[in-house]
Formats: sequence, structure tokens, C-alpha cells
Amino acid sequence: MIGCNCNAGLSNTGRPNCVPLFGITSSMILVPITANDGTKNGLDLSAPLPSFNGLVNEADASKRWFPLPAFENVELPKADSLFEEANSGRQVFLRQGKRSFAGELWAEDSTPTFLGKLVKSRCVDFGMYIVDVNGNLVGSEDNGFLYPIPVDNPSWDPKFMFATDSTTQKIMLGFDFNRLFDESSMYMITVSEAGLDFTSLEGLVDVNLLGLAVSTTDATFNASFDYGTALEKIIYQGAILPADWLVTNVTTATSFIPDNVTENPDGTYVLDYSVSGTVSVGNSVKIEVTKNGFDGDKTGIAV
Amino acid sequence: MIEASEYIEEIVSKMDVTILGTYDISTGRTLFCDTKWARVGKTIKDSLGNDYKITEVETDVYIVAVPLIDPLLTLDGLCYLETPFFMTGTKLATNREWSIADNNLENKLPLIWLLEIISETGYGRGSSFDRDIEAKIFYLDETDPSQYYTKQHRDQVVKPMQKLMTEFLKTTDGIREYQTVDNYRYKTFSRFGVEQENGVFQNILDANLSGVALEITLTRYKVNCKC
Repeated sequence: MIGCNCNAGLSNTGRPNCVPLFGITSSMILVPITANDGTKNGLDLSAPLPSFNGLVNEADASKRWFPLPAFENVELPKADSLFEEANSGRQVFLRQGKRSFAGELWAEDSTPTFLGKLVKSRCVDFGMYIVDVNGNLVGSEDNGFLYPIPVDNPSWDPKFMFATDSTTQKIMLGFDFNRLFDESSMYMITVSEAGLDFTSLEGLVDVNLLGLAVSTTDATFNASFDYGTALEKIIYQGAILPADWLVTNVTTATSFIPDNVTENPDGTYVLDYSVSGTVSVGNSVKIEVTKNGFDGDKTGIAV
Repeated sequence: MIEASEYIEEIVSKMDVTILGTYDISTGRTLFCDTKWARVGKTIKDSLGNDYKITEVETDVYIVAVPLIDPLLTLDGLCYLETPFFMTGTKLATNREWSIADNNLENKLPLIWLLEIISETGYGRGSSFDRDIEAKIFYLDETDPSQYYTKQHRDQVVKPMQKLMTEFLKTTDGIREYQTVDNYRYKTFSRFGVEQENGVFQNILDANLSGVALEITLTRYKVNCKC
């Protein structure tokens, strides 16, 4: 509850014309509350807006934005406020009720694989920006920053629902807002202000590098996603530019881009770093996916 | 407030006309997991703008296409299908406007035709909906009544036009200003025209066309005011 200011009277109730209104909630962007360097994640409203695609592709996961797909049947109910009632019938306000979120992810966005990724969010203190159907971004404005709305992360509850005769497969997601969140602090950044429709942001896709074999001149591996069938995971194709990869000699703390990349057959890569790289037998070498929209790495010992 | 046909035209303009394929040198086929509205006889472009003529299509499996200029080229990677031609209007008006739009039939097919009259329902201040648009939309492409049996009309034209309709619906699903479409009605026809008990006896547009008619209600959410 926000305390009363005893020096002020009632608030003025006029308003200018054409105040922006939030549209229906379409999706959310999850953001850790605090980055690993101790700074709070938020948009500095006094500076030019950052590259939002850059925030989604941010190398530091503690500063990254994690957009969720579009939800169906979104509800954001508010529980009743709590009062103490005297025998006379007089009531005293104790606290406002909690705000909850309930929404459904349908069809391709409802795989058990994705469920597994959602469940892990519970372990992190995070907040979320709301994205409405018009592509606007809603957050919590405080001291010149637009912060993500804090989520009560232990309440985070994604559930898988099997398809039935009358319903499609889905993930039902429910959670509560942080109970101390002041809803009057909500403001939005519009599509025209950002130069971007926030519904167009998509989260990174995890890439698994399997069977990594590292030598002093090249690295060979298969790349695939978590998604697919039990027998055949969907392969990661087309990352054939040297800039799509980063090789780091962990032992000597040097990073380099491979000289060239070959993919044959699809999903099987050879990164040749015989010219640009310096790797000796026994060095620990990390291969990283750096192509926009994807994330993954694997470390091996050079032989 | 934008006029309903402009909204439909906006959806059509956002339709993804690309398909991603891999050329198989052993069979001469280009493998696609989604062939969309590709069909035999039509032109397809590769990412460099080279034109190919489609000679064989196995829906959602492969396309065989021959290059129109350099015979050594092979269809591979990102490919571009013909962009649908959008029109709106009554039967008479559309027939006239479509006839004079271009002398070359290839430049105005496949056709997505929004039939007028368009019925709309508006919502007041208490609703987050802006309006319901009840639309009847035709997805049409040329057919050959002198050569085709009914099965060929369906394979060669109706099936690709059904895929064109599916792409339209997929595009609509991806635009979040619209409520998710729960259901829609559609009718497929081997010959597009005025029907009698014995079948089609007269073309509505001055061409031999086949395709699909979609009846759909699109619900738009309100957007912020612009001052």
C-alpha cells in the first residue's frame, strides 16, 4: 500500500486529450530484475532507446530480454482488497489484493520442450514487460527508468495440457505480480516511439553442439535444437559464415573468428581456424554460436 | 478509422511469398517442406531474381523447375512465389477493373478478391474490440476447362489456392491486432462462375478460374488515438 501524503489534498482530476491506453495483453518479455554486475535492468528514458534486437541477442544472459510467444485467453484479475471490519460495520483498508496473470500458449508454442524452458524461470528473480496487441511495451516507470514489472517468481506456474476432442494442446501459464508493485507506475513505450513493434521480438533458440572434436586447426561437431522428435532433433542449418561463430582458446584467453566454415551434411560443421587461431594440444577450446537469434556453446580439449 | 478493404489488403501485403528449398542434384528436384501456392506452369524466382518455370509439384515435398535464361542454374535456397494480386469490389466492378488492370494474365494471378458488400459491426467505448469485419474472400487462379478433368482442376488449382488461403489465415494469426480466428467457412470449386443445377454455365470474371471462397469474420482490437 502506498502511504498517504498528509500535506496534500485530493489529487487534481483533469486530464489532457488523447491519453494513450494499453491494448489487450498479447505477450510478455521476461527480464532478470538485476544483472550479474549488480545493476538493475531497465530502460533509461533520458537516453536514446537502445537496440531492442540487441537486448534480445545480448551475450550476457543476466541482461538479456526473453520475449515469450503470443498468448491466448489472457486474464489479469485482481483479487479483492483486504479490510478489517469492526462490529459497527466500519471498514479499514489493510492491503490491496494481488494481481495475477493467466494465459495460454497454443499450438507450436506449447511443446513440452518449451514447457521445460519456462519452468526454469522460477529459479530467477525476474520481471516482465507487457506487450499489448498493438505492439506497445508496458513497464514500470521509476526515476527516469522503465523497469520490468516485478513477478512473484515462486508463483510462476506453467502447466502442460494435452489436446482433447475440443481443445488443442497448450501450456497454461499463471503467476502473480509482486504484491508490492504499484500499478500507478505503469507507463508504455509505443511502437512509433520505439520504431519497433514489440510483438515482432522473438527469443533466442538454444543450439546444442554435439560430438565436438577439437584439433589444433579445426573443430567438428553436429548442431541441433532441443526441439524435434525423440529420434530426430531439428538440425541447426545455414550458419556458414565465419561471423556466425566464435572460437575461444580458454587456456590462453584468446578469441578468434574461424577462417572458414563448411557444413556438410546439413547440421554438421567444420570450423577451420588454421590461420587465425592459435591452439595447442591440450588447450581448452570453446565454440560459441554468435548468429543473431541463436544461443549455444560447447567446450572441448584440443588433441 | 481505416476502411475494411484496406485492412484486408494490408493482410495480403504482409503474406510471406517465400519458400525455402534445397536442390537435390541426384533427382533434379528442389525439396520444400511447404510448397505454398506453387503450381505447374507458374514462375518462381530464386534469391538472385532468376526466373524458373515450374514443371512439376508434389505438394509440400518438392518442385521441379527449369531456368528461363541460364540453363545451368538450379533452384535452391530462398525462393519467391508469385505475389497475389488483390482486388475488392462487386462482381461487375471487379470484372471490369481486373480486366483492364493488366493485359498479361500472369501479372494478375493468383487473385485474392474481397467481395463487396462488406458487413461490419462496430463496438463502443466499453469494448476493447474496434470492429468485426465479415468478409467473403476468393482465392483464384487460372484453370484449363478444355484440357482438365475435375481431378486436375482440383490438383492443379484448387489445392494451391487452398494453400494460399491457409497462408492468408496464418498471416492474420500473426497480426496481433486481430483476435485469433476460431473458425471460418470455405468452399472449394473446380470452376468459378455462375452455377446452375448442371454446374457452372458462365464465368463471373473474364477468365477461366478455379479456387476457394472463404467466409470469415475478423475481429480487430482498438488502437490508440492519434492526435
